[in-house]
Amino acid sequence: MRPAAFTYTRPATLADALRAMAGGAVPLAGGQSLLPAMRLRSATPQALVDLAGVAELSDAITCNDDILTIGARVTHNALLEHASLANEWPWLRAAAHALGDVQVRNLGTVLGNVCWADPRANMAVALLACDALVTAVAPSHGDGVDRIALSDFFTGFRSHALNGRLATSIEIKRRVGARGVYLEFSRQRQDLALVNVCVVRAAQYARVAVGGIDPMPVRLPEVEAAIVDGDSGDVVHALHENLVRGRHAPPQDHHGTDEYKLGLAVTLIKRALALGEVPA
Amino acid sequence: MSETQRVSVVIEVNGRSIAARVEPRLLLVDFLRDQAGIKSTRIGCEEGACGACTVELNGRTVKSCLVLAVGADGGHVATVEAVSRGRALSAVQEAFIGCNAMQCGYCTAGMVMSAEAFLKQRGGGEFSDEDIRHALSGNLCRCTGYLNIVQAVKVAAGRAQPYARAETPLRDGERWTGQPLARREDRRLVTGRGRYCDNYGDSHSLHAVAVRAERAHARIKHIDTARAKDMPGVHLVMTGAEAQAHWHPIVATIDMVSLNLPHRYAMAVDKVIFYGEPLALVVADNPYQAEDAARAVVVEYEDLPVNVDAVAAAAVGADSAALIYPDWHSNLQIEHAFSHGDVDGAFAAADLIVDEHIVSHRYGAQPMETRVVLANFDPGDESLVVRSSTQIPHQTRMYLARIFDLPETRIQVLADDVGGAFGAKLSVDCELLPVLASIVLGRPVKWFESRSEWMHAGPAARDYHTRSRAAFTRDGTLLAMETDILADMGVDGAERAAGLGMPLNGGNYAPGPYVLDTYRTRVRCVVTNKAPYSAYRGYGKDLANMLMERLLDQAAERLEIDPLDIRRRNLLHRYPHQVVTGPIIEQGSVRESLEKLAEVMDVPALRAEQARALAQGRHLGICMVPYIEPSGFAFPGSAFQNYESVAMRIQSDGSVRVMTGMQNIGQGIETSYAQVVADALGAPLADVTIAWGDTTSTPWGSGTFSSRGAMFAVGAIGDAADKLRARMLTGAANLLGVERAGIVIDNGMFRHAASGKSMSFAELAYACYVQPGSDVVLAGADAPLLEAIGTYRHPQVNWTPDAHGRIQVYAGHANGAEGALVEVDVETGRVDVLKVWMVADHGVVLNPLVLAGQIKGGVVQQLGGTLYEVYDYDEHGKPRASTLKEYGMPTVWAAPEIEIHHLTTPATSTKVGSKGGGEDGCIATSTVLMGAVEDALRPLGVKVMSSPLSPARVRAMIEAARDGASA
Repeated sequence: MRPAAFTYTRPATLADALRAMAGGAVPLAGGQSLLPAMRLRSATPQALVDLAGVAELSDAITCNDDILTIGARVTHNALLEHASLANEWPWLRAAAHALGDVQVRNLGTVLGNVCWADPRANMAVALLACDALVTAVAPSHGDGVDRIALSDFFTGFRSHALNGRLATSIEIKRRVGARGVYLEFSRQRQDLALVNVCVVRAAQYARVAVGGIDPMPVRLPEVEAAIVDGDSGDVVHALHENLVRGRHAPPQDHHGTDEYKLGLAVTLIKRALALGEVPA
Repeated sequence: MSETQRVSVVIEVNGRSIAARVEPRLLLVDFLRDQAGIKSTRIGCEEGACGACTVELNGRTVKSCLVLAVGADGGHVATVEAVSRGRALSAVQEAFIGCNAMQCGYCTAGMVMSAEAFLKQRGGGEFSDEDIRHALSGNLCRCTGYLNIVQAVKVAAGRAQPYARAETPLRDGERWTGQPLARREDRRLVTGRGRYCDNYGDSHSLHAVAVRAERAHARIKHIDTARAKDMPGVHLVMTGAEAQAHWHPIVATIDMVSLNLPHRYAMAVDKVIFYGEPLALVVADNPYQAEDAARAVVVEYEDLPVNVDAVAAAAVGADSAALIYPDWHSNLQIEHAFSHGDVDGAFAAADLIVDEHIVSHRYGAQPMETRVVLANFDPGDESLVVRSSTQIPHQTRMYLARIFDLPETRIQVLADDVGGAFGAKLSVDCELLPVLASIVLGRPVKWFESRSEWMHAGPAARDYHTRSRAAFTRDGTLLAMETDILADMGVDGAERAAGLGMPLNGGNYAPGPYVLDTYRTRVRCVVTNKAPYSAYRGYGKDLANMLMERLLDQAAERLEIDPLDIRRRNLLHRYPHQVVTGPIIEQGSVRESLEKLAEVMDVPALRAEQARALAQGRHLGICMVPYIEPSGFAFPGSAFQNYESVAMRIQSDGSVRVMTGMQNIGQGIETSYAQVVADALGAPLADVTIAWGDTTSTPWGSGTFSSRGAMFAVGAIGDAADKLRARMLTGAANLLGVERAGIVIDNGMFRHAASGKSMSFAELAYACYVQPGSDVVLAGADAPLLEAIGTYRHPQVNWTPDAHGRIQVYAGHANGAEGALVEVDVETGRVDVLKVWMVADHGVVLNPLVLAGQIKGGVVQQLGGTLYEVYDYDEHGKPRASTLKEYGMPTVWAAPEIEIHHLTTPATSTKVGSKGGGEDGCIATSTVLMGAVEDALRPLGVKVMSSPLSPARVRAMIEAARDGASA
């Protein structure tokens, strides 16, 4: 099938893009999630605003003193080809590497993957474990930039807190000594994961993000606390306390029961902790 | 309605600037195909899963179906057409040919683009097999099983050798038959020049889209087409009720006494019986407009009870509203029973009875090319030309003539390259819609089934529910067996789809290659409100194999006999062997194949590895089973006959043209048949051409299915060649003025040793056609022309029942044995297939490269079905999967290492000694994977009697065994 009709603009400035969005246009970045949905006509936007020509939206990854910034137009493959990022944030690289395929990664953007807000979106889960922020601008704000923590960003199944604002970049604060592991379980490699996890640790710090067990990617604070406390028995206990039906609501599909997916999350987190390059 | 927006774009395609004003929604793939004339970028899905449309955009590979043409404005596109220069192919293209890295070729152009990009990016640096797989994971191939493609990438980088032999001259004593020649079709396919149905049509062609049911079982109360008719570009909107005036119901693919047929039209008239059933037709200027209008058709339904579960559907009462066809008074399409010997007595006397519910889930063929038709009815001379992606062009013409009341002579069916079929293109249903539209409108109309349409309403298969029992003595001797099979036909397995024979085969062939005289079977084919039930590679031989072999493994475990020994005890000893239900296994090597398999697998070493792994908490498992491959299905009451023919012509330059009704669906007939022709005639291989896919120029043929070509086409070639050789020898004797008996034919030459005289095929042919002419040249010959029809019937097919009612519907039986090594992750339930071994005996092999490709492709296809692929439905009968990803098509990651060995027991039924081949991998792969997973989980007490072996189900089996053990 083919997309339903829509009107199309390709503005050169952020102001024009925001104006189009204010008129109801849906932003188009790499399009690797939006276009399949439009082809199946499960998404039928009346208007698209193509961000490809917006000069203010960067296609660069920049590392300042303590902030890593991923521009709105950075593709997954651009992220994979970024040498220092791969050294310092190997779990982000692992998440991007397991995403889609070469062709999808050539067009799909990191920020687009986050804004698609699928509960199993690789980059969403991996970035959630990095305390990443989304920067966003609103049509009415003039030059003002909002920073939304990823932990506040996801509001439900494929929905987010942008409310008409345009996401412009992702920022990650550099954390000294941080080590992380991204793992996913899918039927075949590089399929959309059934469950994916990202565990990041540093001194007195742990983040556990999980996708596929709720309508949105979530963190597990009790498990994080147990990891920080350092008793592996407590971690296992926290996992089994936390990852039970009733506390989570995995998306419904024919690939497994809720219990199965929660069990996968437990297994993956255990493996991530065992495999993590974490000082004992 | 507001004016449609149009945007000017300029896109450079292979160095040429193409300017157009386009709708914003135009996909780049459509721009390339329709505006730039690039046909190599093909459409196989809707979600960017298949990668058949892969092109390079601004130096990076993208899927051109996930890019808007407006988004590519100002960009540079390179397609596979830019990869080769003139006749010179790239290293990747050459390697694809040399490795037989394609079969139907539909995915090939995209695959080449990905391979080229990978090697360019690597720039001669190091890479692993894993890197190759990463690079190709966005390109699906349904035919090859991917392994030859991975090999081709290595060959292109100079790190491995190709598999094929070049068409170099034969050495003394060699024959073309049996040479692993690179396929002739591959040059066309690897350059993107495959001639698939969607290549054809022009700007005058209209596009048909079906309006499909959004209920699984409901009365149609009202269809409102008014708004759709007013939409831009729309030429026709017609409901099923309106269409009745223009056509007849679908002609049954299989018809026989005792079989219930639906007698349905190709569009529903008063009620819909499955989700996605066509109920109206929209024709517009382009597919975008047609889809818009189809969505504007409003249908009111009155819901009826939905049959989702086959077991429940079988029990529906004679007056129930849940009956799909009330005039049947049940939901049974056919019930078949057979019994031989004292089954109950044998069970009563047995030392051991194994009794299992063995279940295979619903999955199917899923070729990369969906069904595509371009119909062109010419109202001037009332003729109809139909291009169709089909396995059976001649039957299609016959069906069209009957359905549309047209003289068959005015219909031409063309089916050039077909992008995979696997049994799913053996009947007509939706294909009739564009034909109807073309007849009504008098214009060419194209229909291109979308992947989601195939997913919802296309051909499905397997879906067997069985109870199977076997009786044994203490020493493992099989005394008796009983199989009770219930198969879910969806709405139909015989009229609009040809799958009904699958469960019947399962019941008939379950005794398989074993000595067993006491057997009872019942097969019930039940209709439900699901998509039709189609033939699919394996065709129930998979079920037969599974029933017997799974029971044998159970018996071996319970009797504490080695699984190989219990088979050695019961396998047939002598040929010909009549299966108790009737089939005759003429000759073969069932025992030898199994022994060879055990030898090449090195079972003791694998068992030691398994024990070591278990000590580390890893669960490895192995399984080995023999199989038989009945081939050349010829069924009473169907157009699948015990007959094939070819027309063979020596042309005036001495070249040979062979025209066959067999259809090329990717299995290499252009090459392997040419090898047989060259040997049979003594013609130079390069001078032989095989033509197919045109009902006007080829003699009637049954088409391609059931692995029949290596017997039927080859047999017919032999017959035609005999006739022509005799005639040519007479001609050569007349022209050379020598005794005919002394002439030897050698590589296109007639040589008379005693006189030293010789002449070429070309000289003889020209003399015959022109000077001095056939009256002189062929004086004394049986006919005055260098053209002959060759025919073939298989001596073993027999439709006259014996005293037990037994007939033989299969011509020949190849055989082999298959083994697998798997690892199961007990925490997640994931099954990794580490290696598959095949020992196959197809008699004399026509082209080992082609056969190995078929075997590898079949293994991965059935592996995909067993592990990943699922058609399932919610409680309202709505399909859950709409896309290839949701369905679970195997990607390059799914392909295990496959090691193939051959045994050769020449067939006596053809001069060449060849038997059917091509379904091997789809017969025993499910069985060995189930057995190997069970073997891996034996320490946990898990029994594996059903599929799919999805991680969630395997994990559930482990938990059930654990709960059972602790209960």
